[in-house]
Formats: sequence, structure tokens, C-alpha cells
Amino acid sequence: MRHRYNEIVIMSDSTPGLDFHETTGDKMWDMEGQIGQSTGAATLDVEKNEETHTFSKFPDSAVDIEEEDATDTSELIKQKKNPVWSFAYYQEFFDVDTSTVLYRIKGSMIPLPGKSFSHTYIGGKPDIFGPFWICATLVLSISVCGNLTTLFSHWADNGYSYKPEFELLPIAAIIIYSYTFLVPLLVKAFFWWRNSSTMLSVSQMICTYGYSLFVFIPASILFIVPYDVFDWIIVAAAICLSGTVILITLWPALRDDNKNFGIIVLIIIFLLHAGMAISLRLYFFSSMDQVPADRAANATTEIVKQVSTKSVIPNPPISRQPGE
Amino acid sequence: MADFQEVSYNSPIEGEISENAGNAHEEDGEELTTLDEPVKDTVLRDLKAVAQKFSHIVYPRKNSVLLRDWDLWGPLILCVIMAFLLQGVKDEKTGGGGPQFAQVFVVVWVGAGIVTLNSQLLGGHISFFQSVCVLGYCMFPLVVAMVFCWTVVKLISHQTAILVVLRLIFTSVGYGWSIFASLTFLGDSQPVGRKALAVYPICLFYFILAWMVATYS
Repeated sequence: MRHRYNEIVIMSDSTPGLDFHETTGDKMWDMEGQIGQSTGAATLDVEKNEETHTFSKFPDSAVDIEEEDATDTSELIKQKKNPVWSFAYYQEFFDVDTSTVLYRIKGSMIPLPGKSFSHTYIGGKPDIFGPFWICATLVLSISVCGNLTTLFSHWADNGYSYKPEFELLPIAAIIIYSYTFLVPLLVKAFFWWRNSSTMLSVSQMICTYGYSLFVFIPASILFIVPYDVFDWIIVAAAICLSGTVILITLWPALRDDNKNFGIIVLIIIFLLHAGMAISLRLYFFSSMDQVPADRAANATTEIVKQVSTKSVIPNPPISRQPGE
Repeated sequence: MADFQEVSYNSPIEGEISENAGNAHEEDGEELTTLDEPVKDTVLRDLKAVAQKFSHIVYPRKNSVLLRDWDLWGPLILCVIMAFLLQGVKDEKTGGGGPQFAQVFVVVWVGAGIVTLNSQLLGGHISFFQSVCVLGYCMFPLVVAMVFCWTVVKLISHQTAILVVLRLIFTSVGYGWSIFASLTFLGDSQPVGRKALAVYPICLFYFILAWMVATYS
């Protein structure tokens, strides 16, 4: 007859030489000459025929160990899950320190192949602080720098009285916030539809998208420089950096799928990212294009009019064409 | 349970229920007769409290008056002044223009609310209205800068570059002062290791206001 049992015994300091192991067969403890002595543990008396086991001399703190374990894990579960309507649930998303935020910002600007931003920098603790305030800063920097470019492009024009363009701010906010918070939802829905075994949660993707937008803040400040070519180089560099970070993060979820299909999806995501950046550049900073040749100015106003007719706002002030 | 013992009182019970007869009389009198006092007194008392808080902003020192006795009168007065001065006429030709009265209101109150919410989510130990109160009162330097810019723009019809630079300098000084004042009062309530995270949105909030003041024309 084989008896298998595990013992969890509370050891006191004065018991040398106790050897605990999972025993099978006829071997009991290796407790030479110490059976029967008080060790603070429950002693197991074994009948000579090894078929009856009785416990005697229970220690004072004899607790049912399984029960203790069960309560421990249930407390752990309770700690993790706060109900959606409680304030503490949202506090979990703001549980970051200054150093963590700066570390994640640094990681969002440096794409390294193989190092997924979500895996390396976010770990299991996504935060909403970063994406929210990076988007807010980006909206502000685009509005301020857009106004400044309009101002500088009419610097030589003496008859021009500067009027701040405040109606651009809500539009910028809508574009940037919906890109950061809605596109990850779409991507997650896409992953769910394809049944891909990704560990990325929606909040981790929102975190990735939000931090990846950080590189556009210095880019928008650099747009004040009135050289067109310089602008487009900056746009291309910013799109490449931030887009690569997003693609590296999403690639592990797609490579299990059909490879070609995964590449096409990656290209679509990249184009979406590029489209957002280019539309921001064209819509908010295109007043500079009016200073050189009229042909360029006409082309830009055409694009701007196309964009403005699709939205509900009136023509932005840059399209100052006589007779229109 | 002890046995009840019936005690008969032959004389009526009398006495005074007051701790310090002298001081409490005044306080009790105040509490009781606020309804009876002239409106002028009530208004003056509240105005004095508001003015005292403004003086704390002018020379920011760490004290708890702003936090302990918070009120929203000061922020409301400042917001109304700011919105009234900032409102611009909608320019038909260009389609642009300054912010409207309601837009300034929304920016100030929603902005202060969002900044406070952020500080609370990060784990700050300050109540919602205390923080809104401090943020509102610390707008005072920017409102002073706004009054200056408004006076300059309205009095002098043609703005030279020097005047523009002067307005910018005043606005920047007001911006820095506002941030310094709000840091003095709100600094301690921020959680350790996250102070910069809570301070940054305050800087953004005052930057929006400073931008509106600086671009006023």
C-alpha cells in the first residue's frame, strides 16, 4: 500500500535534522530518534502495519492551512477588482510616479525592434494620466503654434491685425482625443474578431497610442520655422518614430495570424497614424504656404476648403480669397 | 440595573447653560442675530474675508486660511472680471475673434475642475472645493495683467512693438506669479513622488488663461 502525504509542520528552532519530503511507500519522516518528542508540530503515530495513521499532539496554532490559503487569494482578488462606479477604480489608472511617466515618454520616442512598448514600459500597469495630458498638451501646442505661424506669416503685412483663432482648438481636441481613445477600441475589436491570442488590453493600447503622440509636441513647436521642406521632413520623422512604436507593439498580436494579412493590417494602422499627423499639419499650419507662389496657395486653400466643408465649422480665416 | 429612586423636586430648577458667560454671549449673539443684522454687515464681513484671501495671494506664504475657510466668491468675481474684459467682438471678415463671455467661464471652471480631479485621482489629500478655491484665487495676478493689457489696448489705438512686448512681459510675470502662488498653497497636499504630475496640469491651466490674456487685442 502506498501512502502519499505532504506535511506542513511548524518547526521550532531546536529541531535539527528534520527532513521533509513527499514520501511514497513505506518511508515516513527521516526523523531519527525524534518521533514522539515535542517539536511544536503534530506528531503522526503510525501503526506497525502502516495502515492506520492517527494524529496526536496538535500544536497550539493548528490552523487549517487550506482555509488560510483560500482567504488569502480571495483577498487578492478583492484587491484587484474595484467596481466601475467607484472612485478607486479610476485611481488605479493614475497610479504612476513622475519617474514612471518620464520613463514611458522616453520609451515612446525610441522604437527598438523586438521591444514592445506595452511589454517593456507599461508592464501590467497602464495609466490614463499619460495619454490624457499628452493629448491636452498636444492640442494646446498645436493651437498656440498654429496661431503663431499665422502671425509670423503675416509679419511683413502691415495692414494685418492679429486675431486669435480660438475655433481651431475644439477641432484639434476632437481629432486628437478621438484618435487616442477610439482607434485602440477599433484595433481591439479587430483582434477580437480575428480571435488573435493577444494579451494587450484596451487600456494598454490606449496607453501606447497616447504616449506615442508625445513626439508630435516638439514637432509642432518646430513647425513655426517657415520652411516648407523642413516641415515635411519633421512630419515624416515624427510619423516614423511614433508609428514604429505602435507597430512594434501590435506586431506580436498579428504574427500568429496569416502573415500577409498581418502586414496589410499593419500598413493600414500606419496609414491611419500618418493621415492624422498630415491632416493636423495641413489644417493648422498651412497658412505658411500662402507666402510663396499663388499656385501653392490655391492648392492649399482647396485642401482646406475640402476639409472645412466636410466639418461643420465655417471657413477658417486662412482661406482669404477675394470673391469667394 | 440600579433601582430607581424617586426624587421630588420642590423648587424649580434654574441655572445658566453657558461656558464662558462673557465671550460666548458675543458669539451666541452673532449666531442668533445674523438674520437681524443689516445686510451691509453681512456683505462687509464676507468681503473682508475675500479681501483677506486676496492679500494672501499677493504675498504667498504657507498658511491654511485659504484651504480652511474656502469660498468661491473670489474665483467668481475674478472669473467675471476676466470674461468681461476678454470678450471680443466676432469679426465677420475673418471669422475669428476673441473668446466669448461664456467661453471664458467654461474654460476657467471646467479647467479648474479637471485639474482638481487629476490631483485627486493621483492621490492628493485635498478636497474638491478647496482646490477649486485655491486655483480660482490664484488667478488674481493674471487678472491684474489682464486689466493692464486691456487698459493699454483701449487707450492707445496703435500698438507699437514695444507695447506688445510690454504686455507680454506683464502677462508672463502674472503667469509665473499665479503658478508660484498656487504651488505655495497646494504643494503640500500632493502625494510624494507625484508632485510634478499634479503641478503640470496647473501650469497648463494658467497657460491657457495667460495665452488668452496675451493675445488680447
